[in-house]
Amino acid sequence: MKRRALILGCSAALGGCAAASLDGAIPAAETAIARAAAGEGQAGEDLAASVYLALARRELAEAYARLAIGDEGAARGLARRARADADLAAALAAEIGARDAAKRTSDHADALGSELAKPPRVEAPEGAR
Amino acid sequence: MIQKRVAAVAALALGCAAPPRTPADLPAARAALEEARRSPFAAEAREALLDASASLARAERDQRREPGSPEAFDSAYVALRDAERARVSGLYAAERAALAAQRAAVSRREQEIVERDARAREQARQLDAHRRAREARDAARREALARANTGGSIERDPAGTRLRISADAVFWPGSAVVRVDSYASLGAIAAALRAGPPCSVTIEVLDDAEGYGLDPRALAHRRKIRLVEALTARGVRADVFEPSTRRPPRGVELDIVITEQAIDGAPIAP
Repeated sequence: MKRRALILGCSAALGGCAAASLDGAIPAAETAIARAAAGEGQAGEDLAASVYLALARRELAEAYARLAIGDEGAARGLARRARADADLAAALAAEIGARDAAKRTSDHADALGSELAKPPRVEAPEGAR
Repeated sequence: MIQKRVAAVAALALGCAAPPRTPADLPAARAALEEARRSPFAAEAREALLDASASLARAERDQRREPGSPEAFDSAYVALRDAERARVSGLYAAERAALAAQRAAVSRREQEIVERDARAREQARQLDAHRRAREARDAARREALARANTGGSIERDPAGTRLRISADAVFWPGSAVVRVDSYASLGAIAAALRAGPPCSVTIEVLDDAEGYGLDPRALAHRRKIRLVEALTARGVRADVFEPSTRRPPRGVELDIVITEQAIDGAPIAP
C-alpha cells in the first residue's frame, strides 16, 4: 500500500514537471476551470453550465492520471478538452446570469410602469382637511 | 517476394476494411461556427469567434495530417466547444444589450415617478394653501356679516352659511319696500359677499305673511326681487344669485344662504 502511494506521489511530482511541458494545456485548463467555478453562481441552477464544468473537472483529473503514468499525449488532449469545456461553462454561466438580470430588470421596469399608471400617493399637508 | 505480395494485399484489404475515421465533432464544429458567424450579435463576440476559427483550423489540420488520430479527435472536440462558446458569447452580448436597455427604462421610469410625485405634492400644497386662504376669507366674511348689525343670526348648515334676519328689519310691514334704516346693514352684507371667497347666494323669504293687497307668495316673491336689487346695487354680482326652492324650508324668515364653490374644482397652476 505504502509502495503504491509512493509510486503515485512520484508520478504526481513528475506529472507536475511534465505539466508545464504540455504546451501549457494543463495550466490553461486549471485557469479556465477556476474562472468557470467563480462564475458558477451567476448561472444559478443552470444544468448545462454545471454539466460542462463537471465534465471539465473530470477531464482534468483524468489528464493528471494519464500524466502520472507517462501518457503525455492523452493528458494533453484531455487537458485541452477540459479547457474548452470549462470556457463553455463560463460562457453559459455569464449568458444565463445576464439573461436573468435582464429579466429581473424588465420585471422591475414593468412594475414601475404599473406604478406610473396609478395616481400618485401624496400625503395631505399637515393641518389640511 | 510472395510474402511481400501477401503483405501488400493484406495491407490493402485492411485499408479498405478500416478507412481513416473522421471525428463526428468536426462537421458539427464547422456548422456551429457558421451559425455563430451568422448571429446578429457576431460582431460583439469577435474574440470568441477568432478562438473558434483557430480551433477549427487546427482540427482540420490535425485531421489532414493524421486522419482519425486521437489528437484529431481532441482538436475536433475542442473546435466544437469553442464554436459553441462563440455562439453563446453572441447571446451574452444580446442579453447585455437587453439588460442595458431595461436598466435605462427603469432609470427613466424612476425619474418619471419622482417628477410625478413632486408635481402631486406641489399640487397638494397649492390646494392646501388655496383652502386655507378660502377658510380665512370665509371666516372674515362671517365676521363681516356679524358686524352688519342686522339683529339676525348666522348659522352654518349643510347648504352653507345662513344669515337669518327679520323681514320687518328690512321691509316695511306688509310691503316689499326696503326700509331706509336698513341700508347700512344691506351695505355691510353686500360688502361681506363681495369680499369673501367665490360663492353662490340663495334668498329664501317666508311666504305666509299677508301683504297690503298682495297674497303671501306674491309678497315673498317681490321681497326676494327687491333684496337682490338692493344687494346688486351695492356691488354684488348678479350671477351669484341662485333661484330658491318653490317653498321655503321650515323656520325661514328672510334668509340669505351663502354657498361656497367646491374647493376641489378650483383651478391649480400646472
